[in-house]
Amino acid sequence: MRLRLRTRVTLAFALLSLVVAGTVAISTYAFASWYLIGQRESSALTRAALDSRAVAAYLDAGLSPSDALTQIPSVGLSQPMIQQGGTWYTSAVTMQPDDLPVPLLSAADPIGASQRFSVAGDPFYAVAIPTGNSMYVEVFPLRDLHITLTWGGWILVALTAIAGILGAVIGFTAVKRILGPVRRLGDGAQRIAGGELNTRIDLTGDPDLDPIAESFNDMAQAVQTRIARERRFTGNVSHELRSPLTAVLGTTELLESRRERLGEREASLIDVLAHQVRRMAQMLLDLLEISRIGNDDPPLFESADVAELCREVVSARGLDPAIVVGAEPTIRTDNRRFERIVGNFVDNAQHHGQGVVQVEIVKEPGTVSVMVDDAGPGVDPAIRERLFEPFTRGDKAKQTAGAGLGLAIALEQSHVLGGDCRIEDAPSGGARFIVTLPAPDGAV
Amino acid sequence: MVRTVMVVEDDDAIRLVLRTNLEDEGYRVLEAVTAEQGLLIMMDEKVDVVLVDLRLPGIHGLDLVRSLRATSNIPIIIVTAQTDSHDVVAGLEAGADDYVTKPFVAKELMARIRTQIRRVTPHDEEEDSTQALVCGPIELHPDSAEVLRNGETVPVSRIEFYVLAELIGARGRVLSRDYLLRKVWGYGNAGDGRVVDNLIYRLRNKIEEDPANPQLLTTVRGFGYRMKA
Repeated sequence: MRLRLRTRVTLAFALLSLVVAGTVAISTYAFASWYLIGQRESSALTRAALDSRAVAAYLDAGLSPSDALTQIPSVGLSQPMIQQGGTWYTSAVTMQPDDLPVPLLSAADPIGASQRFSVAGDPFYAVAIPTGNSMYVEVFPLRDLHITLTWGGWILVALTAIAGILGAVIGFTAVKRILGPVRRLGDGAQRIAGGELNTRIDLTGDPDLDPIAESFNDMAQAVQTRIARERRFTGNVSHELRSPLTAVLGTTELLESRRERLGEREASLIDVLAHQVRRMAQMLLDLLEISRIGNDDPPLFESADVAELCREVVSARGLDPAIVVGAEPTIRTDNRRFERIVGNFVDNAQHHGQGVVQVEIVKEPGTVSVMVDDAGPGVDPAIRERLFEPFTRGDKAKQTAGAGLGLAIALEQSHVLGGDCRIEDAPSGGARFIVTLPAPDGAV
Repeated sequence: MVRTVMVVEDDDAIRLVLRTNLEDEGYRVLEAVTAEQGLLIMMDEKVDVVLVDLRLPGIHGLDLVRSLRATSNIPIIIVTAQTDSHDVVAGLEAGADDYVTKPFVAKELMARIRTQIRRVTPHDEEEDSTQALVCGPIELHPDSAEVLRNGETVPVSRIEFYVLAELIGARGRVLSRDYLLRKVWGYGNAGDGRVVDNLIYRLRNKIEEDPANPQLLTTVRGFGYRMKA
């Protein structure tokens, strides 16, 4: 299993740090250890040599070993001892002659020997030098040095650990710094995908990162321009079609009103023509509307009797106004857009939902919702969001009017009014299309 | 009494559609292809309603509307290419009483024309239709379709008269734009409130002491308009 980038980099930095610091620490300790102990031993040897000669002189002068010992200037904490004729003489009592290591004494002949040893855990360094017919031994304690080195060692270990942690922190920060811009790029792309086409990445002045940001911004601009151009094109084309469509629609409706004067075959031909022409007209109006939302006339907010408007929408389509039920609130909204939204829902129910079952108005604190239920099979939750996109239609929606824009228009207009649309399941089994609009309590 | 409608439209097909619809409704139809032609016709004929397409060759439809409005109170309905602010607002400000956009539903247009030339009725049908409606210095005479301000006649268009009648008849009640659009303009569904706003503006210029600070005809924000009881 591969770890994520951040972990890998952090670990790498930590490891590197540990290795470097560890190497330095170990070398430092080894060298210090070698040097300090070496120094101590060397000075001990010198000291012992000097002292042994002094002792030899005193002994030759006839002093007793005990007296000779007292003559030695005590420097440091060393313990001088003299063995003469099988007896040990020593002034201090820190170490018993019995504790002296045997190999030291046997190796002392003839020129002397030294040895490091420990007694009850304490380290010592003893130098044994034969003087005439006696043996001079001086014992130097190494405890203090040992403590110093131990302390030093642990400090180095701690420092190494800290270095390791610092390394990890630096690694972590470094990754964050690099991932930061990358993440911003990702967020930008996400926002563009979500529709915010003017998203741009700010340039930071960093010559390594700015080219990427610039490329992103260029791409976003290109996409935005292309979409705007296509919208304008659609708008222009649709606009040009207004006049011819007016003529076609008008003449067709007139023919329709003169049906009785036509033969049966001609009458049915007119019916077909009229139906198709109305389809075309609706498609054109939808295209025009969706290409101009945001650029057309601003919404006029005034008091609207929601139930009344709904009943009107329903009657205009030849349905029974009694299917409008529920609350009878008055809200402030743009009447035309409101009728458009509810109308589109009703049309959708009629054409794709096998008929409108009811239109229910619900008043809740701060909002008013209009719910249009149909008698169809309902809408699969997986495609509910997509249905509100332009040109997306359900499976069976081919023969009927509309270019698949009705719901997209309803959604966008609901946003213009400060509300939103969604689809749920109707208790009766079909689909429920809901538009919710703001209705601040007490404001009407 | 046969009413006459003048159609100023350069597109032959649309003109035919309009003519046929109007004649089906029983109107006498006069056609003009340019604004100049329209003005010439107006000089000789008595016309009850004018339909003007703003996009005309030669003199722009707006200028025709302005010329007509300058000399008469005849109802004018403009046919616009789109609902975006420029065309509609300009047309209304030039003096149009209503507008339709292409493609329009002929039936709707016919309904709106009908209301522009119907006989005026007071707000409350039960009242004597010959009784004058009074509001401050304003007097409205339904029988003679006259409006007086401090005893002096104020020239108003038909639509302006209807709106005043509704407002005064409402006795201080607020009338929403939606209500006025349906009752006075004959809209069958929700319409563009700017049509009403524009007319109120024109009315205020005619009846108010200080049109910028209306005392008689006030706006109730978010609800509509009302006249002093």
